[in-house]
Amino acid sequence: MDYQYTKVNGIFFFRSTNDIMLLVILAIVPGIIIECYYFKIAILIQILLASFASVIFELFVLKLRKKDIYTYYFDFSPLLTGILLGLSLPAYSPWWMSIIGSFFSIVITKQLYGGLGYNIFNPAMAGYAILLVSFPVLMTNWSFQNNLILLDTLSFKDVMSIIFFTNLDDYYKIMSQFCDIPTFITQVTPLEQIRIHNKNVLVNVASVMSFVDEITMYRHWILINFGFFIGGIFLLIKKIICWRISFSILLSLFSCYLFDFFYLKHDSISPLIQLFLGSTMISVFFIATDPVTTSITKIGRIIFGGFIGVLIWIIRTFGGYPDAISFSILLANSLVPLIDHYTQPRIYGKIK
Amino acid sequence: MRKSNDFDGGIDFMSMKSNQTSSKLNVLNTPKIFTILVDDVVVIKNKIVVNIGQIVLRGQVLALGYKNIAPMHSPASGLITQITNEEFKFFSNKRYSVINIQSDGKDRWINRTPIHNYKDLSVNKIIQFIYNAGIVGLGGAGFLSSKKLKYSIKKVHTLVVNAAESEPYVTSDDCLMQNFATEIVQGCQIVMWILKIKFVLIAIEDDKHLAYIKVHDAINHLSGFEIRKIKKKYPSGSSKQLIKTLFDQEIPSGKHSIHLGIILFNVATIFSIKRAILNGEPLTERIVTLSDKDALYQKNFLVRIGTPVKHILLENNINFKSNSIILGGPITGFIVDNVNFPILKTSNSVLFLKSSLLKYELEQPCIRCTMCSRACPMNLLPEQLYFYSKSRDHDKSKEYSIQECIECGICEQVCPSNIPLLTYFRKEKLKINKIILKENLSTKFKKLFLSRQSRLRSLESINENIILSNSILDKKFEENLILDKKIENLITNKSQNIRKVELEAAINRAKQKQKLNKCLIDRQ
Ligand code: SF4
Ligand code: SF4
Repeated sequence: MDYQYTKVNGIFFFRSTNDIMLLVILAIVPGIIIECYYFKIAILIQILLASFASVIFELFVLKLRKKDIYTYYFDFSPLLTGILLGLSLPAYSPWWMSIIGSFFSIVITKQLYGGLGYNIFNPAMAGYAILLVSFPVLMTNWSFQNNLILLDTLSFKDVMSIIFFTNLDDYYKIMSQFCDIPTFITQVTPLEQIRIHNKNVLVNVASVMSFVDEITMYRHWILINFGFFIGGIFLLIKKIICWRISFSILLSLFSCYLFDFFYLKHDSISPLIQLFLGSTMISVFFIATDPVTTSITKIGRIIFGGFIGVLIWIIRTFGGYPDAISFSILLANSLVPLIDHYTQPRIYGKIK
Repeated sequence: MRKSNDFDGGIDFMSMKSNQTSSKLNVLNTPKIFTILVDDVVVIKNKIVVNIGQIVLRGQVLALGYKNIAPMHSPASGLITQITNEEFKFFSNKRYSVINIQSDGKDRWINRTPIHNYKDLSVNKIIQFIYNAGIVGLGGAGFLSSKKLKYSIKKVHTLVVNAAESEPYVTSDDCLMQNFATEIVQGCQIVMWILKIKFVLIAIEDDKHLAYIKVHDAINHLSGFEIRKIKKKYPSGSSKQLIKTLFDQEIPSGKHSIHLGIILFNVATIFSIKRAILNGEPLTERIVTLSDKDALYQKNFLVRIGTPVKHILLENNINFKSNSIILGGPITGFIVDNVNFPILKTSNSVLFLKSSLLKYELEQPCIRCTMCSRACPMNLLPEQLYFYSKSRDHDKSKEYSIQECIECGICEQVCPSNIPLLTYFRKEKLKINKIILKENLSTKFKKLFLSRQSRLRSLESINENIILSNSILDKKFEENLILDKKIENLITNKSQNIRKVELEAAINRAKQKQKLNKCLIDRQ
């Protein structure tokens, strides 16, 4: 028995899966541009590397799984995964890191679970987390990049030589030309910087910075995050991502910071600025909202978002990793089936 | 009664209805050949009451009804040329008897017996008349109207006339209301009298202004009538959603609107009830919308039931070879491959569109975007249902209430991955129903088996008691048993001997045959 499937064009405007993915990619562009402005061409090279590797891996695995390439391949999802992975990697990390990251993202996290729509974990974040656990030093060399004056002196050739070095020792040598290794290893991300800064502040309460000072100090991070924020708002207006996830993350994160700011006093940075540091905005609007790995019910999405927000704050404040986004999202991903199960909507005509 | 005027989910399709053309009712020339489909259950019961070569009049009964099936009437006078049995894949491969009638063009009616004084007759008799006229719900479900009326006697207080007609392209009810507003009101009055209802609510979508005005005028001086505009949104015509919209009440799952004291009828059904009682006409024609893709060619026709789709298209100079034809609305309708397929009682629209405009896109994997669950009017989670019905996890899909799906098809329409969700759900539902049927049967058989077992056991225990006791009677019984066994052995031995002899004889015969063959070959 075969029912006919009819979908008449023109009575309802809907976007295909490909359109959705393309629009998401489009929305990331402003953020990428601003990030390029600060971190130079390196960021683009990382994105290109990661997305190219992801696309190739996807093609390869689909061939292995004997899937119809035309149905499954042209959905831009591996490209999107690659872009997100490339963006979350440190701009000056070696080239093989993106390759390994994409391998874990596409082959292990996505295709081994059954391909698009079946993966439990967010591919980009899983790849990132694997890299973070395996190469903690290389993955946290943002401090070098925080030195914007240094970055200005880099030529395109320098950038290429940093990324495409021959081996690890060479890499350290090249890096040490620009910054001294000890601080490079101990002082890690901007958020880590803030933490160290906070300790000083706690010692000397008088030197608490004003709001404006904070903004000027973290100007570039705030601007980058603002770029992603704009893209996210665009997606929200186009109704491509769900506002419930993004806003519940932001709200829970903000309230955690607020609580911290007034009661615990771990951080002395204004909560609002905290939201615009690190990779908060890109993960709130582009990574956590990946529909495949989020809860499908309305309440479930709010719980999912709130959970991520609290986790981010906990790991950032008490945990060992400065930017906690990947672990929080992966942890929340693993809870999705549970959340879905307990937040089923009330069906018409049924008393719950 | 609260006005909520909305229900959960649903989407606003572009309506594709042109108000100018829907007011005019065109009459279609009758075709030469009519094709009438009769549900096959009737055949099993031998309820077809005409034969090949018989001359019939318009309105003559072709097949008597049976339980849930309404009787069928001839749409025109003429000659019965063929009665065959065919399988149609549109309806889950159900078998139908097909009666072909060659029309003689004279359109002679049977003796019509209008009943103007229906208030003098008994309620049951009126309902019987309605049944005899072959009236079913013309909105789409095709449920027997007489049965519905019978169920709701003394149970309902409100009649809701469903004129929502929310599917795009379909304007047949709109046309009906614009042309026959007074007759619809008369139909309502008949139903009111049958069920002793005091209140009638006519629900109409807010884009049908002309029909609203017409019906409003017709009910203006009458008490107990109300017409209400509802928001244009699909599927506001579905009974569950309509009741939620009008009364802010939900029909409990597994129940019917009658449970809430509300009876729902489609306008077209009301109209045909009026025709059946006041004009004595059985249901032989209905209004059908013929529309093309851009709604440039929208027309409403009074079409006889049983008219082949091909005839309607040919009459309007439409090339049916380069067009795909959808019978019914674009969302719940089905593509007709065979243009000889007839208009049924429940088909309200014929939609033709260039074949290339139909979406046959590749099915991509579900990305759990929740478009479908946001639009589902029943608040189901289609993506979960899809997952479970694809993996044939019947228990899980039942747990996620697949049985509650009203098959509105919205989820399929909004899915960005072009997944034919509705097809999956229909299949899954059928499978679940089969499993439930099997379970019921097996429990029944189990019960039978157990009862037999217990009977046997009680017999055995009696026997045992007899054997164990030491009375004279028992000894006789034992002897009898031994005798029985001896006889049994004898019989088996005998049969074995006989078989041996037979076998030997057969072998001998075969050998002789071989010898003969050899001799013959040698001679040659
Ligand atoms: S609309 Fe389609 S792709 Fe989106 S969740 Fe539903 S089934 Fe999946
Ligand atoms: S067809 Fe069923 S699951 Fe799909 S939207 Fe309609 S009621 Fe919901």
